[in-house]
Amino acid sequence: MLKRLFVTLIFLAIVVGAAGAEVEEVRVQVKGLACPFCTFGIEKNLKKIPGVLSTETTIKTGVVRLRLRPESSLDLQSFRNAVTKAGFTFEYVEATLRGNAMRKDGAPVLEAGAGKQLYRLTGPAEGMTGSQDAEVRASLAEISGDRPTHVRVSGRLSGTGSAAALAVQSLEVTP
Amino acid sequence: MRTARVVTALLTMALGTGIAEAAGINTDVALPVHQGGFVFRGQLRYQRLANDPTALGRETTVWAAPLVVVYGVTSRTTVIGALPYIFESSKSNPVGAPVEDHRRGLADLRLLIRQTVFVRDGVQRTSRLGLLGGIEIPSGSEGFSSNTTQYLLGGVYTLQHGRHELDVDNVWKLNGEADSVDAGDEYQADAAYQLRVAPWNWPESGTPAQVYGVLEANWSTRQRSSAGGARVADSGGSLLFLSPGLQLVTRQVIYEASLQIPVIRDLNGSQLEPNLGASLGLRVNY
Repeated sequence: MLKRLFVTLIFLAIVVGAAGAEVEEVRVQVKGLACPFCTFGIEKNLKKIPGVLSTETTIKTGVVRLRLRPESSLDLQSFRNAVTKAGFTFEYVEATLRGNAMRKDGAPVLEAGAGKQLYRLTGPAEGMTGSQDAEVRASLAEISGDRPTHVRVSGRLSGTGSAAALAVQSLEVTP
Repeated sequence: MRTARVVTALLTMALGTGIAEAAGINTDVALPVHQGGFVFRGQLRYQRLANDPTALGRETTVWAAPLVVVYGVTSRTTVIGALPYIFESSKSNPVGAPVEDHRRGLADLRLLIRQTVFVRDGVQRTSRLGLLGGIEIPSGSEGFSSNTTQYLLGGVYTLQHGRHELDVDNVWKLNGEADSVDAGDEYQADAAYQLRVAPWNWPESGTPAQVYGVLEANWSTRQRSSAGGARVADSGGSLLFLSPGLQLVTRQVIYEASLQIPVIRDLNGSQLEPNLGASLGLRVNY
């Protein structure tokens, strides 16, 4: 009986932890798209990336929005390859993630996805206004090393694997 | 034989173009096919050849159905195969007794490779230059084949910017000798302007289907052929078509229709002249 209760508690802990650490959306910025027929190859290649559920391209801005399985890990190189193989120019990837922010070796990091992929939180991202810039700096400074804070972060992705990083555009503490 | 030569020359002009991936109905374009991807293209083309300068009253109607397969080897290297099926119906009235002849068969298989050598991309715009090289294999049916391997060399440029697109291509075709006839070489130049008429402005999100209005100029010139050192009188010349058309472009399929209006018909000897032509087709991304 005790053993069953213990297993149930472990299972609940995993589910709650995974539900709180997730990929909300990924936006891939592409150059060279000018007609619907051209979007087919990019979307086809992006859908081959593990975890990608759907894609939607907006020609006006050159942005492909991806919906992924919440537990997905993000690999910048796989997005870059998908765009390049389609014959277009890759610009950058932006992502919105939920997860636990903390400090590791003094630097802010985000732990997100079922595999608990770590993203260094840098920033603020390029092209932000003065007030946005100050807001992001303040949010990053508030991340404590003592206890993880659950946050929702949007930022520009760089690096892959253990070098993955997000140049933060917005960061909010979530319940 | 004379009619067959005329038809072959015309078909070379009419079928040898428009084999690639996006806008431009009778014109090649430099837009990419994604690596490992296919584009299938089917067309139905109609052309009537008439205005016989002789007293024979010759007239020929040609229906052609070229099937084109495009494959993206890499994002910059594309191979293209084109195989036209032709139905030809000829009439003449030599001595007051009408003669009719119907023939059908495959024309020569054309294989091309296109290498993109320059790309400049931006938001809602791209500019690309590609080089073309290829061969025509004498695989066609009797009367529809040149009976000799022919070599193609050329270039293609595409500029897309917002609602505008411009495609320009140039192809030289080096024809060989068969049955003691040295077919004259050919040069072809096409220019196409496409205007996106709907939607006039892209929406804030998503990618709806779009309608292009297309206006093309298709120029083709061919040297005289020679047989046994003598020039063949009824060979060679130049043609210029203006080709207005419409395209409905979706993510996976392009539906298109075009007219071909002959503007210049400067053909040597007593060759039949092309009249108004038309084409209907679709391209499918896979």
